Amino acid sequence: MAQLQLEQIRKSFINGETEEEVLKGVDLALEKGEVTALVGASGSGKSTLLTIAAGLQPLTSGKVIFENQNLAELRAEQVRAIRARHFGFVFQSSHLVPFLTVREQLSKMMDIAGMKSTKHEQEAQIHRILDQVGMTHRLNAYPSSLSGGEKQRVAVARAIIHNPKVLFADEPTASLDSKRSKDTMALIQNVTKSLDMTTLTVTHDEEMLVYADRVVTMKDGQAESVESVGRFS
Amino acid sequence: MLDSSLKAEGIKVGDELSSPLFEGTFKVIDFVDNKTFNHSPVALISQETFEEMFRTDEWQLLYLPDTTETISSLQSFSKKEFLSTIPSYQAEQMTLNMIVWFLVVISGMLFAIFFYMMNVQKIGMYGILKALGIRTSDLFKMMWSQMAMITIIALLISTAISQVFQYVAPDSMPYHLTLTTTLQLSLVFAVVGFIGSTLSGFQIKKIDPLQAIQQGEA
Repeated sequence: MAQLQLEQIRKSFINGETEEEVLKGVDLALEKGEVTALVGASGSGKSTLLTIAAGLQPLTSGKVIFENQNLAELRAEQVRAIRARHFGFVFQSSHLVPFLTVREQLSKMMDIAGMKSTKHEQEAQIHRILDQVGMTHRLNAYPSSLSGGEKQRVAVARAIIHNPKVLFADEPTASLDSKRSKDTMALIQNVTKSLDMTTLTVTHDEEMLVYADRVVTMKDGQAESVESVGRFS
Repeated sequence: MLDSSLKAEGIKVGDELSSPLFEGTFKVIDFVDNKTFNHSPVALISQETFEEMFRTDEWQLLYLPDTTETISSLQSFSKKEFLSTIPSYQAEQMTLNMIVWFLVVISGMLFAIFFYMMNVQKIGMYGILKALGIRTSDLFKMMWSQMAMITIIALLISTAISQVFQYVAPDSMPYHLTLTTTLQLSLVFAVVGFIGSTLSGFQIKKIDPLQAIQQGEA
């Protein structure tokens, strides 16, 4: 059974008097320990698909199955609770809270996820994850003193601090240079494997596809092709 | 006995003062605080000296604290009624009260707008936290705790400044901020701050996490 199963996802927007269908029945199964990359031209529906899969916007029809529950049928509060506990997010910008240190960013995320842990356990988890993303030395730094690449590493740490089952990364390398982009994608690939998560990422950069296990090409609101990493590596 | 504001004129205990209405002299034996009439310092003299000065044994005014006793040939007033008979007292009080309340309303509005803007400016960040899964009730708690912390610090500083001013202001200045007034105004500001931050909370409640994600760096 896939960790996250998307079935016949359709999404329409009302634009004035016309209805525009952005997703036209997309099927996708995301497996544990795999990085799936969504690629395609602007307007092909890849970001819309990611946000629907993450429970960040409603769908017009179809099913988003996570742990035998269809997110489309749950109340907003139930979806929020799933998002907080089981999903992790990395965005195009790091979106770190400007007045919190790296440690506090991670600690806050653990609170949001409702993790019941002692101060000692929390501290140990923060150190373990920061070690994994190579940011232990910036534990008490504020976002303003971090470089773009460091911010994105902290964003990845925040996304995985609560041991989520699914990681959503919406163009995580868009604001980084080539080297930092590769570092960030390698990091996402690495944590996906080591934590046995499922990762769904959107990217425009074909160079980043080597870090994906599967590549889904979106075109005109449909998954045109699904290919394994062999073709890209 | 003289009102203590006359000390600033160089008058000391033991000085002798004269009056065209009195042949003898008055010896200053002590000073008393807050004894003024129409913002002018009052001199307290004996009944006998008063009768000699004004050539009358009829009293013009008799102040009896804590009593409702009436005296024949004298009209009686309550303290409030008496104060209202003083020329321009009511007009002056009304003007002062209007100034005070106008300032309270203006600063209250600024206080509320400050908290509103402080939170609205952070709408993007709150949207991201909502995307990550934070409860809206937790966002409200965050806003209220920030508001409470800033309000307490602001009130402590302003109370300290007003008390220091009261201490250094000249005695002749009619400025007296009581503890009750301080507490009442503090409560008004706390309520106004709470309203300001809660109103911004309703804006934050409505924010779409997707919009925040698409707006770039929080």
